[in-house]
This record gives sequence, structure tokens and C-alpha cells, in this order.
Amino acid sequence: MNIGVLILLYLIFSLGSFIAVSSERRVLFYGAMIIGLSALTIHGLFIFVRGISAHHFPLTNSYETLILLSFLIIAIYFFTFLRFRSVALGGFSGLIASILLAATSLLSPDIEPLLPSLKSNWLFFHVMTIFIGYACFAVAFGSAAFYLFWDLTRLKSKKGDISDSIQKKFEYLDWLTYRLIAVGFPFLTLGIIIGAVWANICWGRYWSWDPKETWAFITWLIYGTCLHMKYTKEPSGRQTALLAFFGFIIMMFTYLGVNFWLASIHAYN
Amino acid sequence: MHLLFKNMLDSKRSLRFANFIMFILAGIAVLGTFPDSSIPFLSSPHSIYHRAIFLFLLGFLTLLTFVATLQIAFVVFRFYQKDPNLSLAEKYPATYQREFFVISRQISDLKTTVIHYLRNRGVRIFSKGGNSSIFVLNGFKHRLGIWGSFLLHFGFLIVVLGGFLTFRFADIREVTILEGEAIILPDTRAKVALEKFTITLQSGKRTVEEYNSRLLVQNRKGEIFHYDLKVNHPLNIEGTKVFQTRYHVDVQDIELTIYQNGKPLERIKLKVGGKQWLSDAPFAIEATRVVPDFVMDDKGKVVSRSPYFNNPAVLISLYNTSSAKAPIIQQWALEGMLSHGRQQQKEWSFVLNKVRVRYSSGIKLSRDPGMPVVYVGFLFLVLGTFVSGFLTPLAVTLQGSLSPDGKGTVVRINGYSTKDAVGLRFEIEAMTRNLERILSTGV
Repeated sequence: MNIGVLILLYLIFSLGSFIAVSSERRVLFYGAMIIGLSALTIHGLFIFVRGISAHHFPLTNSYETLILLSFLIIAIYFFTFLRFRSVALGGFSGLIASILLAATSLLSPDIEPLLPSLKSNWLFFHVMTIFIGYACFAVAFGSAAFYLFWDLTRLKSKKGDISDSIQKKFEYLDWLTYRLIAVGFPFLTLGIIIGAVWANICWGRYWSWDPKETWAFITWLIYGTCLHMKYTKEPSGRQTALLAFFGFIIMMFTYLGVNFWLASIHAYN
Repeated sequence: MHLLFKNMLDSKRSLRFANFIMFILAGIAVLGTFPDSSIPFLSSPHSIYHRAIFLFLLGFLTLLTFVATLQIAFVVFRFYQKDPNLSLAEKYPATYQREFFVISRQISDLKTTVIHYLRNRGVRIFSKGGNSSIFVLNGFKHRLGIWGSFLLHFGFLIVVLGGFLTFRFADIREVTILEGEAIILPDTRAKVALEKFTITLQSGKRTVEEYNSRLLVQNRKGEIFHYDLKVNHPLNIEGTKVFQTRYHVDVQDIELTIYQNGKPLERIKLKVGGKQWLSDAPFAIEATRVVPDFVMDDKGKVVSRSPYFNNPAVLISLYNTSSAKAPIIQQWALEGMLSHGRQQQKEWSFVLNKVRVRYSSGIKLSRDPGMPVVYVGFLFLVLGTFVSGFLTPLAVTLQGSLSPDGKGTVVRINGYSTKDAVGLRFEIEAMTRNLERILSTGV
């Protein structure tokens, strides 16, 4: 199955969601949802088939984890939609998923056998929990990006006071960003901890300030700061959105940048 | 100093301060991930994690966390106090109120419907009151969520404590054992010998299935045991944890058969890099280079496909007495095959009979008193983050009373939460919408 088909479907889903939000037409919304769900199902099947071919869970190198992350982003979005009904977020999620899938074209799709250090039951739990956290942060990034985009548009139009309904929308986006980070943070924490436990079993040290571990800790600190901000006096929605935006960039560097630019024992490419 | 301490105790300011410290800590941690010699003032960036500035910041963050943990513990204590003078607003800082009107004067029916609705929404009713003209319900949801922040911060403290114990008291070292040799484990009288190190390759592939160190262990009682040490399968030998981390292979010597004009001349054993004169001819042989998995690329360059001795080859240099410094011939000798060369009929050819290798296994020995403490901290940290992230304590007070004009009932919902005021508002507004619909239409 061609990854290109998935990219196309997610792009259509993304575009459909954005147009549905701006035009407020239900037909477009339902159409986008159907395409999104279909793409997600095909995506899930692709991961399943790859896992069967590889005889292990397909989450051992950058190619497989990019596919997994894009799947989880869309899955998390749909979970979010069940509760929060945000269509615009679907647009951002579809776009992010398409970009991540497009990045797989730079990597080898060959199925590699597992290295001895990866032959452990911890692999699945470590990678899955980390990537569920990442997916939540990615969707939060979409929410934050939408907030900042709206904020920037409002500033450029030089409108002074904003109406109550617009103010409520801003508040809702800010709150959604916070909730998504609040859900992703425990998974990131659990993933880092499982990684530490596994590192202790595999390498004899639960923490060795390896670049991957360090950047995961940095990501944890940044998102911890984001959550702390909700408790400080009168936090600005813009500040939270900017921090969520920045946190996503740090997260992506932790995920991909470390593998390609820094020497790490975690670089499985 | 007094101001600093005062600011630390002020929870809002200390949070901002903690955020600032976390940011600085993150920035310094980034520096440590840079490659060596890439930072002018720091030749070994990785050493920054043991430097005073990093440790000081980490220590200061720990101190702030300790203060925060005490403050949160106090909040949790007050939360469970059954002091009637302590209002809900004091226990739950975030509040929100809504009210709506229902054309119904049947207080008891309304009360039953509201109780049913609240229970379906996960609200636990802990007190009910009222009469024919008024009803009051008090309930809460996710009360355990109050523990989340405390567990999280407490867990962080325990992890840092465990980390300190590891930093200060752990004995973690890497040792290399040659096949056939033994070491004595530190702090025990156990002797560990490496019987054999094996590399098992995947069937039909050049990738490794597993590395295995076959160990012979003699404990302090003199009992002998065999253990197989593999990656991801550490051993515990008298309190010392043993991990398989790396290996090294040394070529001991090679066995070679030399052919002259197609006939075997001599079979010799020689070490790599060592020159040896033949006994039956005035020539010297040198094994210049060994390649474990021989392959020649398109440009004729010899490379090794893998580090494993699947298809070993040796570069043989032949010298005669008049050219002792420069070889007259250089050829690759492969196992069981006549060596490569440009011509089919050659005066000299070599067949590699055997490459004798000796493995040494790199194992890590660890005695770490901090590890169990860190694991306990991890448990609290995970519990804390999940409880904090998913359970937001909510208290609800619902009051229904007949309207002054007697035409219906006014229902007032008061919501209280420990955090997330916006989420509380959404929750109360959703409750209001649903209750209004249910009580008005019965659906």
C-alpha cells in the first residue's frame, strides 16, 4: 500500500475540516470526517500488516515511528472530537499527519530485524506511551497554532475589544491546549520512566544523560512549565499557546533531531 | 534572603520562580548534548551534568519542589478536614454558578431526576436535604484527584534523592573479560570466568540474533554455576548486577596454505602484522590486514559487509630477500578458496585455512543503592501525573426551590474545583444545559 494514498487522504481530510469550519456547512464536515476515519482505518491496517511481515511491533526505527505517530495524532484527534467537538483541530491534525508521512520518503522502508538491545517486552510499552504523549502534544500544538493564528489576525486587523463569543472561543482553544497537554504529560512521564527502567536492565544504568534521555527530560520540563503556568496569576492564553508551540518544536527535535544530528545510543535508524 | 524565602512560600510566585529555574536547567541540559569541542568554553559538554552550576540548579529546583510539596500536603490536609467553618470555596478555589427555571412544582420528582442525572455523570452524592418546597444536594467527583499534585511532586523528590544516592554511592564499572580468563567481583568473593563468547546471527542474514557470554561463576561458598549472560537479561550475582554491554574480538593468528605454481608449498601459522620467512623457499609472508566479511565493491575496493566473521579474508604480502621492505605480491586469501588476483595462472596463491579469534566480553557491574529509591519515586511520579492529569476534583451543590411566584422551580447549580476554572465552567454549563433539557422535557 502506498503511503502517498494516505498522505492524500489526510490532506483532503485537513482541507475539508478547514473549509467546514469557515463555511459552517455540515455536508463538508461529515465528508471530512468520513475521509478522516477511512484514512485512519487504512493507516491502522498498514501498521498491522507491517507488523505481521516484520514479526514484531513496527516501532523500531524512524520510518516506522513516523507512521505510528501520524496514526496516533489522528486517533487522538478523534478521541478529542468525541469529547470536545473541535473540527478545526482536525484540519491541523490532518496536516501534521500528512507532513510526518511525507517525511518517511526520506527514509528506508525496509524491514530490519530487531537488534539484540531492542528484543524486550519493554519496547512496545516504552515507545507506545512516549508516542501517545507526543501525539497529544502534536494535537495541542494544532490548538495553540490556531489560537496564535487567530490572535495574530485579530492584532493585524487592529480590532480593540473583542466580542464575548470570540473571547469564549479564545478561552476554549486555550483550555483545549491545556487539557491536551495535561493528558499527554502523564504518558510522556510514563514513557520516560519505562525507558529508564529498561535502560537499567539493558545497559546497567537508569539514567546516563544520553542526548535522547536529556532531550526527553528537557521536553518534560517544558511541558511541566506549561502546566505550571495554569496555576500562576492570570496566565495569558498567548503565553500558553507560545509555550505549547515551542514545546512541540522541542519535542520534534527530541524525536527526530537527536537521531540524525547528535550521537546517541538511542539512534535506531 | 528573607524576601527570597517569602517568595518561595508564596505559591504563585514560587511557581513562576520554579518555571524560571526549569527553563534555565533545560537550557544548560541542552549544552551537555553538544558534541565534544563544539563549545569554546566547554571541551567536554557532557561533563556539565556533574558540574556545580547544574547540580546547584537541580538542587534548588528540588528545594522549591520540597516547599511546594509541603504546601500541597497542607492543601490536601485541609481538603479532608471536616471543619464546618471551612467553606467549600476555601477547599476549592475555583467556583462557578448557574441557575435555570423549570415549569414544575414537584420538588420530590425533580430531586429524583437530578440525583439520577448526577450519578450518571459520575458525581457521588454525599448529602441530601430539603422538604416539599426545596431540595439541596451536595456531591463530589474525582475527589482522589486532590492527591495528584502531591504524589507528583513527592515522587520527583524521591527520584532526586535516589539519583543523589546513585551519584554518591553507586559502584558502576565496566570490565572486559577475555575468553578463558576470570575476574573477582568487587565487594564479593565471587569469581567470574568467561568460558565462551558467542555471536548468533539471524538465519541467512548478517544481523545479530544475540550475543551470549557463557559465564562460570564460583560463589563465596565455592559452588560453581553456569550462567548465560545476554543483552536485556542481566544477572544478579551476590548483590552485584551484571550486564552484557559490548564485546571485542582479537585475531590471534591465521593458518594459511601457500601454493606455488598450483602446488601446495607450505602450511604456516602467522600473526597479523608479523612477517614470517618460509622454511622451503626464500620468501617471507606477512598478514597485513584481516577483513571479517569480505566483499569487493564496484570500484574494486575491499570492504567488510559486517563485523562478523562470515567470510573472512586476509591480505597477504609476499617478500623476497632482495625486496624485504616492499612486497613483490599482495593478494587476498579467502577461506577454502584460491586467492583473488588479476591473472588465472599465477606463480603464487594463498588459501586461508583458519582465522583464530579470541573474544572478550564487555560487561557492566553495578551495585546501586539509589536504584530502588528511584523506582519508588518513579511509581509516585507516574501515579501523580495520571491522577493530576485525568482527575480534577469537583464539588457540586444543587439547590432547587419553588419560585417566588409559585409557577415553577428555580434550580441553582454551584460548582467548585481545585483547579482549571475554565473546565469547571464548561462542566457546570454542560450540566445546566442537560438538566434543563431533562427537567423540561423529561428526555
